[in-house]
Amino acid sequence: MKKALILVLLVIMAAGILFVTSCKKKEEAAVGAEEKVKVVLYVNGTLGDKSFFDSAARGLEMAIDNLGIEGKVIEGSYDTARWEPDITQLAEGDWDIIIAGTWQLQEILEKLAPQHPEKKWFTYDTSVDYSKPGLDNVYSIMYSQNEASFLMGALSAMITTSDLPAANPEKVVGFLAGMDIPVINDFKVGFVQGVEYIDPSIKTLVSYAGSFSDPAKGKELTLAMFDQGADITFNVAGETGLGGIDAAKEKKKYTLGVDSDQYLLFADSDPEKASWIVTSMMKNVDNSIYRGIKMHLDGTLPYGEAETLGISDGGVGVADNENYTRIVPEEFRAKVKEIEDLITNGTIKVDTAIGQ
Amino acid sequence: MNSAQFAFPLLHNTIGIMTPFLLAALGGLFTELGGMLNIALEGLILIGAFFSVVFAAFTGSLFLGVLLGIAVTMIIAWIFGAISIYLKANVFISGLATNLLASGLTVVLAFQFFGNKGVILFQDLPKLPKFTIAALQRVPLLGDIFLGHSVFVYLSWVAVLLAYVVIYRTPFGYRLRGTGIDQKAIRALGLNPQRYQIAGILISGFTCGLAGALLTLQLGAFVPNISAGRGWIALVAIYLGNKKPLGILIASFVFGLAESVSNYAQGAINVPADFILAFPYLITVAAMILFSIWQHRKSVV
Repeated sequence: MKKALILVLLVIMAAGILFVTSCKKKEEAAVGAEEKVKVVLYVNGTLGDKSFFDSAARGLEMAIDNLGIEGKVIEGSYDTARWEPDITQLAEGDWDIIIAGTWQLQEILEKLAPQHPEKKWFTYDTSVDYSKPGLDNVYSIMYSQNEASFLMGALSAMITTSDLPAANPEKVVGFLAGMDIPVINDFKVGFVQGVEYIDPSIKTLVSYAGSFSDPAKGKELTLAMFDQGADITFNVAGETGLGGIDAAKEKKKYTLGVDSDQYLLFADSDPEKASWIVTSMMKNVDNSIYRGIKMHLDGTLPYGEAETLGISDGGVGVADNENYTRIVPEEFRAKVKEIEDLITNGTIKVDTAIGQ
Repeated sequence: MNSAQFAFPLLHNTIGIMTPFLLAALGGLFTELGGMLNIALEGLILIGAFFSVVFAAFTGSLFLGVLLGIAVTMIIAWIFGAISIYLKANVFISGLATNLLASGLTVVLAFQFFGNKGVILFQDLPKLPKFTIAALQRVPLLGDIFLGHSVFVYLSWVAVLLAYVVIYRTPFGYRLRGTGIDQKAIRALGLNPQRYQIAGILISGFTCGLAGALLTLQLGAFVPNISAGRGWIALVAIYLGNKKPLGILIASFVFGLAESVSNYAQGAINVPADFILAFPYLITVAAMILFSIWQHRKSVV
């Protein structure tokens, strides 16, 4: 009995090893002939979030297709302990540019970039602290998410006070936040201000999930907000937000997507779910990374400083798709456009949670 | 908004949240009574979650999906049990290994099948049926709180009853508990204690498969590590429930309520989010302390 069992387990292990090695072989084929700029994107999460990280990967793919660079995406998972060793390893590899975004990697970059001055570093959705020494080789991309989030707030406020089919009489809107960190709070500040710009008596419920990778929690929190009278929620929570969209489908309420055009991402696979996504606040991480790589190749990229991309630079914006036109009346959409202009020309000053 | 309006959805959600804890803890109880600590609950839930949604999507049938998901979970549970019982591996180590295997295996397979290490969404997945009785729906308390859940919720209540009957009213239950108390006595009766321990582990595989299936099927998606610590909470619920089915039901309810309250409190009251997110864990610690004080008192008297 025992011998047979050991044998069975050994066979399972051997099969497993064969399986894994056979998967690996496929990847070895690609070897570039000429010297290309080698770019690596380190994602401190996993692809497939249909939102933020997928957008970043899209940017790199666009650069690979159009700019003749060599590139690779490394997925580091949501395991915090892995990030620093992983990036150290990349820094010691033969990459020319290392791209690693989000606030959570800021300190790691501030430590590693000065140790590897021969490398070029990009960071996005945060900025390294340039008052620290040795960061001349880092380019930071920030986004004015507060401005576009203001538009989302204003739109939500118009919808909750309207007589659209799924709107209820209660003047309540919801905001599903991933984590209590500056970037997310920047969204929140803009959103709340946008809601109050339309009608100060509207209540904004804010729920933090404490994670970017827990859709089950996102769904529970969003259901709770709908129960408390919200008829539209804005999810700013990465994968967690997918649960929020699921809750909207279940309760037949409105929701707003984030980072990528989430209506388009679901339109084919789950049209019913997609139909509840009124619009998405675009954070064009893809364009900004593509633009950065292009400027690097042209030699015009300002390393050693941070750039903030706002509505006017195409860094952030409102996704315009058929569902937006279908759900939202012309008059509301015109109002959103009008507010957008007021923000770009500086008439409306949107508060920020960054750098406070 | 008056308090009843607030309390009903709160309790309704509590029941939904507590069900995975309850199922996993009930299965873990059988392992526990057989004299083994089932560290692997977390991993088994994850295995069940992955395979049931994948099979449900492939076969287009919820029932087949859940059934095959449970079967795979029981196979993994058997491997864990066989290594610990027949090959005499340390049960902590093999349990931890099972958890690590589960989180690695699901992601590797997900990548092989779907080319995606993140969220995998399943299209056209049949919806989990909800159980309602139209006539009773309008009875205030009953309709608002106890009806309208997915079938898994009612299965978990049946499981409590079944666990009670099996443990206290059948020869199998007596012998299983006997194994946990004194293996030599069982052997003296001419029985094989290892068979009871394996049975206890297989039962935990069954209920964890069910718990996992609930997680993914109600979301219609698989997310890496979707079990998110629920197996560990279930493990605590076994002890907090004093290793009794009814006790586990109460313990699971307390955890479910704590999480549900923290979900609602975020929107409603102005307390730092970090504190509210930690609330269910604070309740866990507080409950453990109160429980051990109560037990101590009882043993003194």
